[in-house]
Amino acid sequence: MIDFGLVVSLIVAIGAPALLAVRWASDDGWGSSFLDDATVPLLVGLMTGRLVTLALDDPNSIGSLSDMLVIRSGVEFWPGVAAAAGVVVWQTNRADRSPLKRLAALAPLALVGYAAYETTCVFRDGCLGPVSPVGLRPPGLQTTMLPVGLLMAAATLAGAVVVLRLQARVRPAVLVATAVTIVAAVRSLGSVWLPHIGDGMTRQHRTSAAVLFVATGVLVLASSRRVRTVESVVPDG
Amino acid sequence: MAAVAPAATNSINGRRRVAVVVVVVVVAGWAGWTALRQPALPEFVASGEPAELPADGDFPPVSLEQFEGMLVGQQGRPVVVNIWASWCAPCRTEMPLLDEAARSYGAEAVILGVASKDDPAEARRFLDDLDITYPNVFDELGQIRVALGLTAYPTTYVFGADGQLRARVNGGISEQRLAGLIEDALR
Repeated sequence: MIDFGLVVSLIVAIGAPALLAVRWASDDGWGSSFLDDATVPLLVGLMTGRLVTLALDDPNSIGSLSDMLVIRSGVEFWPGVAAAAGVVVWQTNRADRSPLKRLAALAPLALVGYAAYETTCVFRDGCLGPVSPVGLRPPGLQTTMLPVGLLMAAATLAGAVVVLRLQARVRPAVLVATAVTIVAAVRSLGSVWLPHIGDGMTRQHRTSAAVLFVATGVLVLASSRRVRTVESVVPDG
Repeated sequence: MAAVAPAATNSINGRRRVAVVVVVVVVAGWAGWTALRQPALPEFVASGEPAELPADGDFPPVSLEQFEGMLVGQQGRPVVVNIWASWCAPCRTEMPLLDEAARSYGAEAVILGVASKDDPAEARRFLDDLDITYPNVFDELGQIRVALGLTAYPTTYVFGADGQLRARVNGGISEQRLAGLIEDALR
């Protein structure tokens, strides 16, 4: 059975940054190939995220192609992001370019894509959250809830603007760490308000908190490193 | 071969981009409309003599009448009915989540699994493999899935404390949605 909510989510998550990249293409010269550049990392990210979910929740499914392709039952976010970033690094290295600069150039678009994905919670489950007099009423529920997914999208979009403005001012490592910190913070905070079973932290919450901790450390270290030469983050494609 | 003028190339590229955008918007709009369109709930109201849920470790074959009796017997607290099969991959992923919900909500809410369109021995092995502790029954004649208007595996139905069907989730259910639906039914 096709999960139409997930189909919309993926189209929007890829389409929004792709359209932006086309719009920015005249400025930076690489944006028009965003879809070509993003497709392979995205597919590898999805596949890796799916494999990690299966390894954690249902190892017996690994090896059964039909079971592995049913992605509606879960894709681990951070392993997927790490794999996609790894592919970008590998591709850029092969092209004799700076991987960090490439990641930094892609960072605002990746944030826009993630924000777009969160916005589509409307199509996936109706945007759940804490019970609130103001908000949306997800399908099947009789109470209105604060749409946490939409708030996460707004926060990420604000983060994308910050990252975009920082592009010309900070080193690529600082920019990439900033982008990761923003997404990890948004996911950690969002997890607090999303409904969950039991009293403990969800896996999304735990992993995002761990990534937030590491990314903040990297950000502090990268920011405090002495800069010998000022590097520009203008993409080199 | 004559070189194509830059202006003509730009025009073709511009038209191609517009076409791509139109196709993407149409596909996203159609899929979004389909996703938002909630299927109507089946007109299902459990009736009959109250019946007990199966004891720990039991996995009895039941008729629609016996199943309805179990629902009537649980009136006063929400019941989550999950229809599954051993051959269904998302079922395997979501059943540990349902087990966690059963343990977490305890006596406040009931989780009842219904294996349907399956081999009883395979279904039994499936439950044992996953260490499922909440009550499960086997839809022996396929009457339960027909009465509940099943269209996909797995499907989760939420009945309120008053016995009324409140929600149906076709396909795998997320932790957020399951918790949201149970909390809402408990309110």
